[in-house]
Order: sequence, then structure tokens, then C-alpha cells
Amino acid sequence: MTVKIILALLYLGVVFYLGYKGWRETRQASDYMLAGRQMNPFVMAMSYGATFISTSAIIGFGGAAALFGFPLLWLTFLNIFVGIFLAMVFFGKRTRRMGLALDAHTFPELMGRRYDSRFVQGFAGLIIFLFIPVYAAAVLIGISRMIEVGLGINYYVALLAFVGILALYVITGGLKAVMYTDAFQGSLMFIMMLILIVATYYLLGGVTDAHQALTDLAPQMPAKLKAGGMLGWTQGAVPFSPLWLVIYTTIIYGVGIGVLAQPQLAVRYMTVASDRQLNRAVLFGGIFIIIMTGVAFVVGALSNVVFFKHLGKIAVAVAGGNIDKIIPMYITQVMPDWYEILFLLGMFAAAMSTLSSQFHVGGTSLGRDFYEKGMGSRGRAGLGVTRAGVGITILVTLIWGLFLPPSIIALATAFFFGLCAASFLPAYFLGLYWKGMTRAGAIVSMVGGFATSFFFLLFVHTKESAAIGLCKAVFGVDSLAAGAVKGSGWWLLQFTDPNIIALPVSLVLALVVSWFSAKMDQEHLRLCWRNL
Amino acid sequence: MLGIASPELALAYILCIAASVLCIIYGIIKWNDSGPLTEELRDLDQWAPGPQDD
Repeated sequence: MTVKIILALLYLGVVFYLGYKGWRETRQASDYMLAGRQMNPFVMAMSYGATFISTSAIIGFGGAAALFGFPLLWLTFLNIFVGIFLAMVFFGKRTRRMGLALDAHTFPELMGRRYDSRFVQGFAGLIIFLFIPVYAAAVLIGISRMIEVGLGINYYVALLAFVGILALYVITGGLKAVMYTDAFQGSLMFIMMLILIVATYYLLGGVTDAHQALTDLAPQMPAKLKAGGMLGWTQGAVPFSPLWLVIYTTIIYGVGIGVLAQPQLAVRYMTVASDRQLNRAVLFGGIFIIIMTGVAFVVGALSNVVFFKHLGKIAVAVAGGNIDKIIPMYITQVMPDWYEILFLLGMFAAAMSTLSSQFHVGGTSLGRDFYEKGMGSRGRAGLGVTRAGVGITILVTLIWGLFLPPSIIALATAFFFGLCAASFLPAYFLGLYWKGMTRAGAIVSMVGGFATSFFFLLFVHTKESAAIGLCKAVFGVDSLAAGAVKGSGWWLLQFTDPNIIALPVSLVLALVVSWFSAKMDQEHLRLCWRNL
Repeated sequence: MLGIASPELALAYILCIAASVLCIIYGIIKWNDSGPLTEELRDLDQWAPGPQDD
């Protein structure tokens, strides 16, 4: 235990040194918000990767992989192909160039200036500020569960202490501090996960033998999961069964596509000085992500075999039904002591790198985008309101972290990713590529996508509508789809992610309204396209 | 294939590796490609580490 604490303090010492270095180099708003637009490609790629991959991906989705098995590998594929390749090559370069032409400092500011609309910037800033704490809380729960299992510290004490440490360097240091610490933390995570996959495959006799053992474990799949449509961990699920819809529409589609419109990731494209740094970031990112989510999902699924061999129970039974505890318990019960320490520090790193970016983007969304630009309070705000925004984001995250139920990490993450996709993705993508995209098209698409997503969340998608209770209060049922004929398309909607509906609605609204509404001023479009 | 019962999920496993390899190849081929440069971009581009720094 003493060794664990000494190593944890040493790790925190390095983090605070890098945070201090970032703070020393932060002199103006562009430093605080964009790291001076001169970030090293390795730091940018590791920061993007470490922000993208958090305890949510490793502990939350790793736990989901223990429950659902290899179908989650489709999410790893999307994480790499969409989250790195398409994101950097087709979104990143144009975002960087247009962001520079429009002197945008944040993702909402890029949107606002592309459409020459304070409403667009303020609305985007408000959505991010209001809902990023839910995603941040998922990450916070992940690390707090790891500290609880790994160090034996009370869950709520871990939650409060971790937030306190983070607040110190995010509020003061800005994006430079965040990105320097990210790069260090990303490197630590990479080493940790590489060891984990090698050890797990070695433990189970190699790649094919390990997978075969998991295939043979299918009869142990719990009856409740079988009733929902699961066939086995390497067999997948019955197409269009309730659990198939949860896996493919919420976990894979929601997160896999939602990554393209993540404000805390999009802002990183604007921190580099050249396209060639984004090209290099594709290489670093492609390696980093497969070692992160690929390993987490494979090990999560294979933990069933290891637990069954050692304890005669599958993973979810060992964790007492809370899938957020599966990966921490696998590490503490199966891996050697020295690795447990490394993993704990790696999880510190994964949580800190993501949370710091979430807090930073929450603060800039309130301070710069909503208050300063959306509300037109220019000149009186500056970094003060942004720093206050960071503080409020941290506080709201803490409240969500204290009250969200167990087994929530993957779902809370998917909620934010999906909401961002439905609200921002069509206006963002079309804004980068289509001069015919209009201000009215962007506003209707963003508001329509958000409203559709929220309507389905409150009244149709049972997972949330039953928990929120508004549908029950108004209509007397948990979901408007609950009374439909079992197996019909309308009945299946209660298991289908809201954004399967909301994203296409948002896209159609963007195209149709832009087609019929007043075109943007040619001079303004020339400015937007100046560097493209 | 590879001990994975479902061909669809075996394909997912292979595509993960293929996507990662695609990123590596793209990064190597485009390592020094700055794309088309306007005057504004050229000024900023000078701040990026060049071939001499690799």
C-alpha cells in the first residue's frame, strides 16, 4: 500500500509540473483556449487520444464488453476509422483552416462565425455547458470505482478528492496545461494497455485459444441476456432483438459517429500550425486507439473466461451485477500487484486527461460562447467568466457523479456523444463543405436535432424515459412505444437510441431549409473559404 | 475464424487491425504534406516542426 501511495504521489508530481509549465506559457486568450495554435503533433495526437479515451472507454465500455462480448469491436473499428482517420483527414484539416480564417477559439465559435450568428454560438455553447457534466460524471465514476476497488478508499471520498486535484490545474492552466499533461498521461495509458493484452492472451494460451474458450463459454450466458437476444460473447446477438438494438444503436452508432461532433476533440484540430501535423497525428492516433479500446473490449470479453476458470463464475456475477466494477476487479484479482499499481496510475491518467478537457470546454462554452458572444457581454467577461464556467462545470459534474446509478458509465457517455451528433454534426459537416448551407438551415438543424433527440429521450427510449418519469406522469406509461404490438417497428423504438431518428432528422432539416432559405453573403463565404 | 464463432465479429476484429494499419500508412505517406498554403497558412506553417526536426 505504501508503494502505491508513493507512486501515486510521484505521478501527481509530474502532472503538476506539466500543468505549471502550461500555466507559465499561458499569457493570452489564444494560449488559454487554443494553446497558441503551435502544438507539437505528438502532443496533439496523444492529447486527442487521451481525451477521446477515458476511464469511460476502458472501465465503462470494457465492462459493457464483458457483458455483450465482441460486438463492441465494431465500436473500436469506428473509433479508429471514423474517430481518427475520417475525423483528422476530412474534418480536422478544414476545421483548422476555416477556424484560422474566422479567428475561432472554440467549436461553438467556429460554428457561430461560419453562420455569422450569435444564436448558433450561444446555443451550441449552452448545450455543451449543460450536458458535458453528464459525460464528465461518467468518467469520474470510472476512476472513483477504480480507486474504491484498488486502494480501498471510500467511493465518495475518492470522487471528491479527485475533482479537487483536477480543479487546481484546469482552472489556472488552460489548454496548454491540459495538453501537456494529456501527452504524458496518454503515454502511460499506452504502456499499461499493451501489457494488459499481452498478459491476457498469454494467460489463455494465445489469441485463437483465448477466443475459442470464450466461444465455448456461450452456455453460461445469463438467461436474462439470452431472453434479450444475446447468443454468446463471440456469437453476437439476434439481429433487431432488444439487446442487439442497445449494442448497435446506442453503444456502437451513438459513440462511433458522435465522436465527429465532440467539441473537446474538434478544438484540438485548431491547436496545430500545419496540416502535416494532423497527418502525423493520424499515425499516432491510429496506433493509440487500437491499443486503448481494442484492448479494453477484448480483455473485457475475455475476463469471462479467466473468471470462470478461477472462480467458476462469469464476469458480471463476480462484479455483483455492476458492470462498472468488472475491469477493476479483473485487474485486482487476476493481474500481479506491480501491474495493479501501473493500471491504477494509468486510470488516473485516463480520467484526468479526459476530465480536464471536459471541464475546459465546459468553461469556454459558458464564458466565451454563451455569456460573452451569445449574450453579447463582450468586454466585461474575459477569462474570468471562463474560469468561473470551469468551476461551475466541475461542481455540476460532482453532483451528477454522486447521484447517477450503478452500471451507468457507458450509457451516460453514449448519451452525450449522441446528443452532440444530432445537434451539431449536420451543421458542422455541411458548414465545412457546402457554401449553400445557410444560417437558417444551421439553426433549424441544430434546434430540430436537439429537440427530436430530447423528445425520444423523454417519451420513447425506455432506458431514460422510465428513469426521468415525465412520460409516466403525462401519459401513464414509461414509454409511448411500450403499448405497441410486441416485435413491431414502433415497439422496438423503445430500445433504439434516440439519435437513430434525431440525426437523420437534423440532416434533412439542414438540407431542406438551406435549399429554400436566403443564401449567405458572398463576401462572408469568401472569408470562410479563404484558406480552403 | 480466429476462434470467433460469428463471421461478422471475426470481420470486426480484422477490420480494427486494418483501420489501424491504414492510419499508419497514411501518416507515413503524408508525413511532410502541408497541403495547399495561402500566405496566412504559410506564416503559421513555419511554426510547425519541419523535416529537419524529425
